[in-house]
Amino acid sequence: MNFLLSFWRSTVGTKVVVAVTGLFLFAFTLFHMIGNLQVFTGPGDMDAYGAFLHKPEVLWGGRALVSTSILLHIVGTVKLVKTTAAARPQGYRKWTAQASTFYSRTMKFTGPLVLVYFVVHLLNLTTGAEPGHIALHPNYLQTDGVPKAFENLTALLGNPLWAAFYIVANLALGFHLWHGAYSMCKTLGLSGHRQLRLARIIASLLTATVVGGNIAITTACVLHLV
Amino acid sequence: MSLPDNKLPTGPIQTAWTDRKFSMKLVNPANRRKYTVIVVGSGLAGASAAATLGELGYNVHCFCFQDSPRRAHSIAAQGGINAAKNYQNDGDSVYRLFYDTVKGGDFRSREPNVYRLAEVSVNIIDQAVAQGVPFAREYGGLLANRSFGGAQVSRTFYARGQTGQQLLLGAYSALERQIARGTVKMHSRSEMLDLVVVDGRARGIVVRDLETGKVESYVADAVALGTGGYANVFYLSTNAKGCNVTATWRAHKRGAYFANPCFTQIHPTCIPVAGSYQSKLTLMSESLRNDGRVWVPKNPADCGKHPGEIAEGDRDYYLERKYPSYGNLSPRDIASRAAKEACDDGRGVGPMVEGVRRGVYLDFADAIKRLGKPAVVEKYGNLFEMYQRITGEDPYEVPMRMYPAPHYTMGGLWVDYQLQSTIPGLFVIGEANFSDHGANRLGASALMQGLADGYFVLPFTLADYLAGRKPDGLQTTHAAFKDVEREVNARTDKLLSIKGKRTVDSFHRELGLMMWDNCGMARTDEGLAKTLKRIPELREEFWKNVTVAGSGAELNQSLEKAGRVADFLEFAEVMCLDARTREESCGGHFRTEYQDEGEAKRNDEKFSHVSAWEYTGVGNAPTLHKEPLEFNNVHFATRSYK
Amino acid sequence: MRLTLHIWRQKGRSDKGGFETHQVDNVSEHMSFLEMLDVLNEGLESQGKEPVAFEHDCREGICGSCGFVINGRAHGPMTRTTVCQLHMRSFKDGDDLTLEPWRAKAFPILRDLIVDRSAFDRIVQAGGFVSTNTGSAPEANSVPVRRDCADKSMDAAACIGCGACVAMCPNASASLFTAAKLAHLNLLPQGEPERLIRSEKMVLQMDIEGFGHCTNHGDCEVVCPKGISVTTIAQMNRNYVQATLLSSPREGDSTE
Repeated sequence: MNFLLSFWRSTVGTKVVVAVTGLFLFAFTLFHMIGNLQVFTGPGDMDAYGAFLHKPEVLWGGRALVSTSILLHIVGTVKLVKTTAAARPQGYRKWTAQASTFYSRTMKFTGPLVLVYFVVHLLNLTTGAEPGHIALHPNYLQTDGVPKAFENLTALLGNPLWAAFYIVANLALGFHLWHGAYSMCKTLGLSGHRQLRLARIIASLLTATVVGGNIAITTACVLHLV
Repeated sequence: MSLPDNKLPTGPIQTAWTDRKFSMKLVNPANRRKYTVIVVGSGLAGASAAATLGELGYNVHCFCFQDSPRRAHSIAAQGGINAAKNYQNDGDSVYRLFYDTVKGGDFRSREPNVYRLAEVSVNIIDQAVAQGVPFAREYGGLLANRSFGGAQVSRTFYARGQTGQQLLLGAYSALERQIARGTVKMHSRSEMLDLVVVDGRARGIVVRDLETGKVESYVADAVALGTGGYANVFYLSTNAKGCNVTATWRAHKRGAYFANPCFTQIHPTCIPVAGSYQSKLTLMSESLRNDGRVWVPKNPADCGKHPGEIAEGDRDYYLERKYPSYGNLSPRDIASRAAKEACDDGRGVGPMVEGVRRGVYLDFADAIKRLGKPAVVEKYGNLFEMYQRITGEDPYEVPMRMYPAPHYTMGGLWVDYQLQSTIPGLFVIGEANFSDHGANRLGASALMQGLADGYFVLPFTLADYLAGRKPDGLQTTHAAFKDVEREVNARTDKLLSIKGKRTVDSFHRELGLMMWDNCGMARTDEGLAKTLKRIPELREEFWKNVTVAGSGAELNQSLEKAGRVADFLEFAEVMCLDARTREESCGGHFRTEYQDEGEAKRNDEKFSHVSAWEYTGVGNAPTLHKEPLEFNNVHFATRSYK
Repeated sequence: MRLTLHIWRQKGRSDKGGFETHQVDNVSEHMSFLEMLDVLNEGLESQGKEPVAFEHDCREGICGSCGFVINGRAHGPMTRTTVCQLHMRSFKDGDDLTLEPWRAKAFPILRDLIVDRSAFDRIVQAGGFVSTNTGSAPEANSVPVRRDCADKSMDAAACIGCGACVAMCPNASASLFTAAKLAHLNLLPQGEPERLIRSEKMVLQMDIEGFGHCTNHGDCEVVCPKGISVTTIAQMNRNYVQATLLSSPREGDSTE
């Protein structure tokens, strides 16, 4: 296991970990969004889907994977940000960006925003079903630890303030995912110009899908279309 | 002291080096680490020597004044490196490379040295490829070659226009590998300020740490200098700003003879001087002359006009006119002199700098018409871009302006066949020695010589010297070191204490201009006599009126420059004296009095020798020693390019 | 033309340093940027003041000695140009320029605009070579090299080690430098035997020197005077992952 530790200690190793966990989390958001599209097919499908996710092996397996990924993603990032801060103790009086973009330079800010979104999202729709029943929700419904997914979701997003929050949060998520996905490809060793152009297209499409899907769900709820 | 034995081999030239390698003594591998060797300079010669000696197991100390050994000026060489591989099946051979080099050097080099150089040239390419030098290749994956001036075969290996850089990075990587292994200790930002001679042998150096200003001594069993040439005596040259004569000059003052200092090479195609603030000259590859046509206006009154306004009939394509068979491809020295003549005649072009226009056109209009612009872009695009970056003019629209500039120095410290100077234990390699190029160096031969000396000659000859001596435990606490350190410190203090009115650069510029006018492309007895009178006066003024700010105990670039210019002010004298004494024209040395209608007139009867000068004190006339040159394989012939 | 320069002045490693303002008159558009500083320095020296220290040597863009940040951009406004090849025609009368040294923990400032870049040498010492002793090389044409590999290797080998990539990187990362060195050797058959260990050791050394990490911003590529591509960094990452995670332990590897 020594080699894993020394891999983690190197900046390239840490970055690879951040990239791989990022890739997993991207996939997670994508499948999560696809699952939620069942809101359009009605309460039956959605609730059955919620019940499926609450099977203990799915629930705890999923939770372990997601939380480990998030933890590694954050710890790795913090480690890298610290290294960076130490690498230039005195900054420039004048510095003009040449190629770095708003997205690339705001990753460390959009990251925490996404984290806030994630926590609020858990409080909205997940923790209410746990023992203790703490929920940041107008009217959280659950039976024996299984939430009423459809009603909870439509009730929450039917509130215009919450809907606005979700739209803004999804835009931050979009920035983060879009640059993250593309940057991740480079970190993981994609180097051909064609490969990179393709990666950029795929990253844009997938990000648009996730953000578009989520916003569509939110809009549908707030306009009471479902 | 008369000139020591030059240790030239006798017997057939083809086996001379092999025989010598066998007869030289070796140092037992287990004993090598007991010997310390100092290598000064980290260019092609220094880095390759230090790396190879480290690989062999010697305890090596390598010094350079730059911040990293990778920055030595070898890095700027563009064109390529010659080797007698005969990959093109065009009739090349070791013997032909040897023959071309002796002839190109105008019969002023030693035959056995040149033969050895040609012989090891093939090993250099092997070594460089194995190190990962990315030479240009054919589609089949094998090495590509190009042709270069002065040869009828294609034997030049190249890595785009950055051959020097790539070869230096190869030697540098080998050096860094030895540094990591601990066999070489690298001292960057350290300038050698003197040589320490103990009991008649070179035993160490005194250096100044350029960051802290600390003056320190290093002791060794032998010292090798690979400190480059002295073209910056002209102030404006294609050399890097830091190139200097200090290491070789201080060694000269300690007893090493200086050979053929007047043999300097002027490169014909450099970007002209734009103003009095000019700090250096930029070389443009000679390959431009393959398609560009050189001309100046026939009438001096046209010189200020835009070139497009000068009618075809009013242009003088002087190289094509004077040398119809070689035309624009005449050799470097001839093309350079012809440009100077045209400008001296008042027909130069470009901006007026100090009252004279110094430039000639190199026109690609015909080439663009004949080959089409895309073909010209493909061949010369990067050079045109570089020209435009520097001058702000577009060479596709306006002809380029060119003027010759000092580029390389064939002269240097005298060495025997084993590369040892007149001081036992002091070896000199690369451009710093008086070298194998005679009176003129062929293109793509400088890289070859630097690496030949460092990789394949010095490691053997140095062992031969060391094997005869036992490490004696000499320390830098020895009085000889302390004396030299005192002298070095006194000199630094003196420079700082003058606090005069003139800057170091103003002295350097004045000296350079004087040398360029009188000891540059064309030399006359009268001009040299005048200069020989003026140099001591300028030197005296320097030591009375120079201003050097700051202190000696810090990073002080003015102080570094001052020390180097002080040495140029002494060195310039022996250079002019050598030029004045050599009453003939040969290669890069052109004495106006000795010519046949503009062609150099050699005097083989009187001057077929190496002139080695012995130092006798500042301002005293040095003593001349002559080493006769023998030609048993290549026979005297007059170069003709008409 | 007339320029106002705000130049970072610092006496030595431990000095705090600060900006100093100078006017330079009679600047010709044909001067190089360094020649303009020469004029400033001659003026300072003739007044007995200490000139501005800046590193320079070949002044033709190949030695990699020169470099500082002009108005927020390493080597100034021209692409693919070192500061010694930058000419004053890129500026106009009355311009106000801020000159700062490369700033990175791994590049301590020695004086004014001069920094210590020996960290680069140590990265090369860690593995930036092919372990071939002099004399042991086979005949040069015995190993054919694919032309596209030779070309790409040469693209990377063009690096002059100036440090602009580190200076411009928002993270002060030396990834472009290290990756260029690696790509140069790793792409050639001569460099293949040591490809993995070289990649591992040089990346490790880059971290030890205290450089930041790469977040794929791409600022380095834009200011690189030799136009080295950031794609070399992806290659470095790939080789590093292969070396550390995917290859079997290399007991027999040289440890030099």
